[in-house]
Amino acid sequence: MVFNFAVASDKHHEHKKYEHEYHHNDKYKIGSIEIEGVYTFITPPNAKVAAGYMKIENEARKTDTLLSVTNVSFAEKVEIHEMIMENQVMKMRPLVDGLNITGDEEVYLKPSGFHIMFIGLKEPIVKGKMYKGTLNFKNAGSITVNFKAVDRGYHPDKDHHKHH
Amino acid sequence: MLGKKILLRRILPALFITSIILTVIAFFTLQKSSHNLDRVDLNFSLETVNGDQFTQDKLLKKPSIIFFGFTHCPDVCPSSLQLLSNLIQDLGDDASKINFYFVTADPDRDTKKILKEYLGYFDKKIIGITGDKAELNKLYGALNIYIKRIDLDNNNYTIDHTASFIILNNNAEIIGTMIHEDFSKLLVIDNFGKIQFPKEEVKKNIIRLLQL
Repeated sequence: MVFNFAVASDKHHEHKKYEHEYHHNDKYKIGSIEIEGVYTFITPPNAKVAAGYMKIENEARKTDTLLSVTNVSFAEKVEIHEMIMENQVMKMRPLVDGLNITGDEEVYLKPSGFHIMFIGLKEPIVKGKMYKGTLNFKNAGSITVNFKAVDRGYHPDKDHHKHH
Repeated sequence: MLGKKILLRRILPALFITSIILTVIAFFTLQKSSHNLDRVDLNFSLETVNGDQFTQDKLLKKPSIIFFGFTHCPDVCPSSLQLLSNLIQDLGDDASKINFYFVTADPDRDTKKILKEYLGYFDKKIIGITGDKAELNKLYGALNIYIKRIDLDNNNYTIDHTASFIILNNNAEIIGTMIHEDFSKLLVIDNFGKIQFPKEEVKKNIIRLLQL
């Protein structure tokens, strides 16, 4: 059997692509950490999990770490996950030590990469509704954000014109 | 002396002839396999979420596009189902010439009922498939699908799984795959490298690959 798995995703390039177009109303700031474009997808019936996405920018020189997400009323458990595609095999792993955001860098939580994993949903994620969660950073402290429920297929860079 | 003679007169010629025979066999075997498609010919017996039997004959009537996933998957599975639904919409009438299947990678949690309701959110042409683990394993094996349960904390688990779509012709032969690009696009790949597909035209590429 011959499979051609020729396409490797160039993560760095993807990030560059978002850079110029990623503008949102929902900006949050705590210490040197800036967050924007916080969203989650609406869920199909019976879905027990959902994923949350955002852009996190660290304006400090020192690395900061997103340690946990708490105060989530709509799920039993929340984890920070990394998704890896290896030879077209999807692998998902919890980041037990949190997600590092290097100084003067930004990290995108997005489909096919990092995400906040909401496990054991107590209610379905419904379009237009906001879902609260508190992000806890090692250095910058804690901040509560709203995950906006959007349709699947939503892309922060493509869709932002529609919202203004 | 005698040993050396036997070696020269008997064993060496025998080895020589054997090696020629093996070379010839290898040549024909390799040539054959490079022309033959990988046919799915295992006797799996599974069920659709509607309670219909799902066996090998179901793959012999129409071409099929098959994805393997599970409902506890937050990211790649719903994204794939959404992209597949978009493709079905784009195909319009041509979509009825293909069968679309979502085969569970997690039969313990994905019962027929759960899977059916879950898939109801996506295009209705996507048919859910589940069944016994042993029967599912036959299908995974036949289509070269990697599925592995990974245990996490608190009795929770996730599943590593192949996230490309398998494309079969109406003879149940694997002729191509569809893979993700950035979770927002699908790329069609001809397994035999005969056709180089332009990136942006998933619908056209599928029609061309399946000769619809």
